[in-house]
Amino acid sequence: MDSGNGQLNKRRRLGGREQVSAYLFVLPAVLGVLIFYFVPLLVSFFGSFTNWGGLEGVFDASFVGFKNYAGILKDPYFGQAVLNTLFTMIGIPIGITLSLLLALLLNRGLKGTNVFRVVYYVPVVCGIVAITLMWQNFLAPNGPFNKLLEKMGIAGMDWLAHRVWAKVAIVVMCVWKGLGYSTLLYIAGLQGVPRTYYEAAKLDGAGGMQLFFKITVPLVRPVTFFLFVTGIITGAQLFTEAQLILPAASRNQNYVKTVVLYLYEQFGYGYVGYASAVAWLLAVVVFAATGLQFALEGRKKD
Amino acid sequence: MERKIGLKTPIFKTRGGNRGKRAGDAAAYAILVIGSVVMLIPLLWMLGASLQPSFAHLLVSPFYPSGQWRFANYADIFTNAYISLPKAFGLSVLVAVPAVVAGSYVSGLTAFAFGKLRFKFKRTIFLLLLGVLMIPYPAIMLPLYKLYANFGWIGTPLPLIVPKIFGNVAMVFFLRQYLANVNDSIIDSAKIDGCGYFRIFNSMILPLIVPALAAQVILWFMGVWNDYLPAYMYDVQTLPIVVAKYNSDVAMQNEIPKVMAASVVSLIPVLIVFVVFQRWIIESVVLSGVKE
Amino acid sequence: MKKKLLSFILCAFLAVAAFAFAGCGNKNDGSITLFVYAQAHEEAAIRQMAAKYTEKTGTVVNVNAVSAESESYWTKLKSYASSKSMPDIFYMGPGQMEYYLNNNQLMDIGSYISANTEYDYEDLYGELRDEYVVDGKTYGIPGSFSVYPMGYNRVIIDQIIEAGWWPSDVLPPWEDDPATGKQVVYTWDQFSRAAAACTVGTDWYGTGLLERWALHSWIWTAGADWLNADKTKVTVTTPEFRKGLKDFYELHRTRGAVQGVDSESAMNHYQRWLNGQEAFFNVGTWDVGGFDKLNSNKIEYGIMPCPRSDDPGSEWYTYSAFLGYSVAQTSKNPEKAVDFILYYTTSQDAYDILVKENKIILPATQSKQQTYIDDPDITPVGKELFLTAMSEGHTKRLPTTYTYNSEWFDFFYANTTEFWGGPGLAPKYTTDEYLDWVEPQMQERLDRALEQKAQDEARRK
Repeated sequence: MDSGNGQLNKRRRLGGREQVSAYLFVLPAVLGVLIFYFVPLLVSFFGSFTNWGGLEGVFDASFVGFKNYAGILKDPYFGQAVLNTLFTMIGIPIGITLSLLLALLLNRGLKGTNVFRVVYYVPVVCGIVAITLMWQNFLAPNGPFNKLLEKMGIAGMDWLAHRVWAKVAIVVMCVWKGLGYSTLLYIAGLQGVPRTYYEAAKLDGAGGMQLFFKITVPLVRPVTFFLFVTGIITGAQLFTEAQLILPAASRNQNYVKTVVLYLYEQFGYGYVGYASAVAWLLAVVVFAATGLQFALEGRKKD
Repeated sequence: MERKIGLKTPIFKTRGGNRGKRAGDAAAYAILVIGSVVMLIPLLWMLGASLQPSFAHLLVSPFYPSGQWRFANYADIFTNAYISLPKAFGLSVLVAVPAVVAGSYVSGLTAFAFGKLRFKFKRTIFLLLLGVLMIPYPAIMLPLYKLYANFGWIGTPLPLIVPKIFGNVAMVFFLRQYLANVNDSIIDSAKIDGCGYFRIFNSMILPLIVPALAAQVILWFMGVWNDYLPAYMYDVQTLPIVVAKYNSDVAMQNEIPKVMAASVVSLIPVLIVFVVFQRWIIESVVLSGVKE
Repeated sequence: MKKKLLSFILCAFLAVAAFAFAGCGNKNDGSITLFVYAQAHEEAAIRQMAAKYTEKTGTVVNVNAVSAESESYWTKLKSYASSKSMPDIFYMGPGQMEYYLNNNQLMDIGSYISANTEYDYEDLYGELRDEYVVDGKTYGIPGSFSVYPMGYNRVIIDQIIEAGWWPSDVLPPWEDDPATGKQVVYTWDQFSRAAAACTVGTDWYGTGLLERWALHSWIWTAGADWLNADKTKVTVTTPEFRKGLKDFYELHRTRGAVQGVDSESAMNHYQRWLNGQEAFFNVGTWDVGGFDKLNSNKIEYGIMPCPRSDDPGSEWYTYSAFLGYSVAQTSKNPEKAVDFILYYTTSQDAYDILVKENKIILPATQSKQQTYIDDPDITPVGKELFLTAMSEGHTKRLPTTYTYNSEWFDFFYANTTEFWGGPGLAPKYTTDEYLDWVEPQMQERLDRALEQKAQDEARRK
């Protein structure tokens, strides 16, 4: 932890001035995380056991025990929201597979690789709101996507009004948008693989497929794992895409309602305590995923 | 830091010597080009749609503006009463630039303390900060809403500005790592000259970490510019919020070309930043992503 | 020692933070603040009123307007309430009132109203005034109201009549019914046939209504309602309700009045109405400003009553919504605030500036009703229906007006694809089966709202 402090480390006594300065320097960050993260986290934990309505202070609300949690688990809407959220996560393995393949292509030392890298990265930097609105109109019944299908002799449909296709649209959009990012990480990962591994394997007569599954895949596993865990963490918090993908006049939003959308809706109805409980269920999932990441990373380092 | 992901060393040599490689390369090119088209078509379509004279034109010719291109769509959205675009633009800049720059400076200072100074509970405090990276935003946004409401901040840009000024933990983490490569001797010699730590940071450390810091500022800026949920939650009328609202307000009135124009406008700043700084951006994404 | 100092700072800080989450305070300077939501042109008119008032009385009125739509207004108002920094005067709807009342945000202004001799509070419509009276206490003054009757496009209907396709036993919607001497009210049957007659090829469409807003008319005229009298039970499985929903469904599915399901999403009905391709569509009072700008070769619209059920003697209904002005419990200048609200709602200036010059509201006073109707400068044809719909008892409040939140009601509409069906989705239920399925779920959500309300009320005491 303190490595790299070289000569400073050699002094036995902590310099008073140094220590004071250090505290001053870290004070804003510490205050920041307390005010804007830890205290709210505790408040929402406390609130999740109350009937907090939001207008009154959280300590004025009455304690209701596990009622909110029981209510959530009983609500079929929540179950549906969880399923919807899980459904959109099928984009994670798809994105991982595609980006690994892309990274292999981009790692051949072809001319113009740099340009491709930039092109694939463009959707990553684009704002999710603009992208979602574009996607919404792109997939509209009279939109370009259906026109394209028409030219290929396929009958289009109102994709976003369909309870499964609407979710597929979100998945496709997320994969499309995130592809550049994961590809980039894979390229970096591939570059860390020593060439001698491949050469040795080839001497042993391994074919392309074997090289890929026996050497490439295991060696980029840290990247895969990282993408997988971060995918779950961000996927569990999916909100904007699901909220904006459907046209304003859409009849039924249920089939794209995610957990965070459900949470926000409950907040809007004035059930802040209940919404806090939803938030904590979500937080537990995220903590678990992060914990898993730390644990496995720690194991690897040993 | 440079050349971390140089592209000169292909690790995958195809089996059958040169001819096989050439065929493989051709196939790779084909796939990459098709892939690029798929990546760009929706964006180009958005640009085309934003120049359509009307929704009816869009129906007839969905891929590119038929007949006359209507650049006036862009002028319209800047003067339209439904969407106060100039105001939203200004607000977005306010939220994404000064706050991010100030926050980055503070992060640099914090990283300096963690990377180069000695103090009690350093490890504990550092772990405390790191813990933040685990907290999902939805888990804290309801109490934050209440907090900001108590301050009278809802509907003002303050909820998006103030927390940033306290620094960014991910950035502290990254810069601290970066500082590990900086030799301590210059700090020591500065101390012998009687410099205070604040001055040491400003005059010596800051110039050294500027490249790393700048890349982080750019990444953070792009993230903040595109941020939706916090702005939506605390009712801050930034560009993404206003554009989304515009879409739902006028979607029924045949104004899709203008909605697309507004969307394009909201993308322009990040795209410019990306095109100008793409090298830095791509490199620091890789650095701050996997190899923490 | 440093350790102690550090922990002391941390504790102090945590205490401050905890306090910030619990709640805080407020200040005064003689002026009053008005908080509203308004589009740019509305805001200009409101400021005009405020300036005129300041000129007259010397009291400064600060106008704080949310330029976006209402959602952001209520968010912001909630946050003001939460931070106990309410503006002096703000928009308040009867639907939202209960919530603010239970959180002690609204002032009883009855005494200030009776003490005011300058303006005539009694001139405001009685039924609107009553909405703000709870247990004999007055928590607000009605300002503007809106109704949602039907509209017709005369351009289409004239040509249908000329072509001889119009059903001979149905009067055109702008005619008076000889039996009553008033504008004709269609029965469901007549309306369906008229709309079907106006459905020609892919150019013209009879109708196609926004269920969330239009269905009420069908339910109410069938003699049904969403809630029982004391607003504690969902009543969507009564025979009357079933009939209302079924007829609304059939209008859109089996009577030839609406093009097939697929066309619905291709370009929605509202859009077609604006394009002059749809014969009948609801027109809200708030639409008038925008509709006036439409292409008059294609659309020449007028106002008509919503259709009534086929039962003899049934009445037609639509919903009305209105906003009034409340004064904050914490206001330091309630007397001035009430005086301004009365000026804003009942004065001649209010009529001249808000109703006539800027057309942003309907007159809220009885004495101005005739002036408004007779004014040839004010569109549209049949506009008197906006006023008479309410004065003659053809309007009801939206059911969510009476409940703590709209979760139970949203649930009904969030699931209607279960009987409408959709792309790649066969209808799962008939309308009857849907109602059987949805009622207990709506009830559960209503019970939840009632429970929250009871808890808030208990806290208030």
